[in-house]
Amino acid sequence: MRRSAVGVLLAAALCAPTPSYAHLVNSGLGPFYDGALHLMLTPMDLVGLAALSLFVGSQGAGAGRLLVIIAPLAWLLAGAVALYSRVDASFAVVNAGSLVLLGGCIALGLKTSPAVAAVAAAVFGGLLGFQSGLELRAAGADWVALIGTVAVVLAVTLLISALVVSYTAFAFRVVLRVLGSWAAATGLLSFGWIMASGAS
Amino acid sequence: MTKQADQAVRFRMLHRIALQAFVLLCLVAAGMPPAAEAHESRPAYLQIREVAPARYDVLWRTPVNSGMPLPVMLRLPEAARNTADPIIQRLNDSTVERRRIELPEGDLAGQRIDFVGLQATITDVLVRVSWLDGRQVTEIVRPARPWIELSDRQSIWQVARTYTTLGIEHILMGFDHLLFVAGLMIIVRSTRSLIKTITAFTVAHSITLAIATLGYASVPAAPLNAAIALSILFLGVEVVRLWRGQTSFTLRHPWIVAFAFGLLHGFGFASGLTTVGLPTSDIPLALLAFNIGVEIGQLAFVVVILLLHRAIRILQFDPPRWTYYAPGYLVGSLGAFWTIERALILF
Repeated sequence: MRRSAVGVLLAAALCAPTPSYAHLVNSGLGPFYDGALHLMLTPMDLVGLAALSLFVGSQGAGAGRLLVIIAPLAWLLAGAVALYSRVDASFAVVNAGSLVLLGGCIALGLKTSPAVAAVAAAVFGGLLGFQSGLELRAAGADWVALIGTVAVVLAVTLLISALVVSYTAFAFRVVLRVLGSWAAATGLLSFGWIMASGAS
Repeated sequence: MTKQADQAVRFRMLHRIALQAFVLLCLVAAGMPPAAEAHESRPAYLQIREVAPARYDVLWRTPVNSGMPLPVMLRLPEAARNTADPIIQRLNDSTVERRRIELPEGDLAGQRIDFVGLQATITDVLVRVSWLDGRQVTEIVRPARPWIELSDRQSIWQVARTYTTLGIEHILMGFDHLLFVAGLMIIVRSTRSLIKTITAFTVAHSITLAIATLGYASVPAAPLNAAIALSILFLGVEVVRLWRGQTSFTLRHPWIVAFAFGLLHGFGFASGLTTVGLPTSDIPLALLAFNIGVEIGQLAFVVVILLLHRAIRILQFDPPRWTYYAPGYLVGSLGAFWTIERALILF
């Protein structure tokens, strides 16, 4: 009963239509919230992070713990490098590819060892963090905004991986696989979008 | 030692080091918002007040963040003429522009005001217009629709929506109120006690919010803020008492203490509402909507904290012992810092 209520609330939150805003970091609430809001308003980064959390969370509590520790740290390090370096390369294609890969793994119900899950958390967390750092730099944000972003990464990975670990029913596993296929489809659509617009 | 056991030991060590780095990151993140300010809610603000028939005083305040002014320009109706040059004041945290305008056509109602550049930000603008005959309009302009068409009367729905949003923003940006709620959550020891305590806090601050907003009582801002900070420091001491296995009146009856300090925090919420003002025609509705907004924000905070706590338990984290004390130290240290900071202002 409680779980179904959580499910309904989650579905309602995901379906709630909200106006989309430009991704400039200027909320009027200080740089920490600017960074936190930036991630919440960047669907590609958020979907990528959700896919990573779903995949690693589906490997069990041990892998989930590693994800919650490693992904925010990787995001912070890679984000700091992007924020303070002069690298201009966009990782959009790589991130779209990551989404296809992670989504595919979830949809296939792939099982790995905690060590592989930890590597996945570090690599994909780093890639997403680097892209996020580039976006923050383009928006003129500083390290406090990056900390705000990492705080959201921490909360999202913790909540999603715990959710996946706690639900073991067959029906939820089906839902998980469907979500994985959606993530993969989103990655493919992003690929198409990037190719069509000539971005790299 | 076998190779597998050796690997397991190394893995556990790595896990512990990573966990400590992670906890440090959490502490930095947790300390970040208060490091900015105790009250950071700073949307742009436009106030237009009719001072004589067809003459209006305009106040346009935009926040300055990290030295960068908000890139938004105010565009008044075309017919509006300045009666004198605008006066611009640059403050530490905002830019304030004052001017007096006249409208040959008379009324502002039905006219459109644009906020050029707002769509490229994620900042809201709070607009408040008042006429000589007592009519008032208060509305929030969002970046998705960076203009407002002024109506001389707001629908009940518009008033409710505007003030509910204001209430949510006020509590979520009021770190001192949130920290107090967090402190209460640490000292209560059962779900029933938590519900009772949060309800007592809600009832208490609703009472003083109404009393203060309706003008029956008022408390000067400086001592009020110092007292609110002291309430947080007080909870920090109680948390330490709880760790030591001691007991106290607060630990036995947290809801009574929540009620007592809730009365104080209600005056703080009222200061947020009186800054914006209430529409004279819909005072009860606006007050109720603001209070509902505060409750929604407060409940959302409590739910998020509970969810994160539950998630940590599900993932079976075994963090170092000192991390259990971190939230308590955060409450106590910030409470002490704010108490000293705000008390110094009094002298």
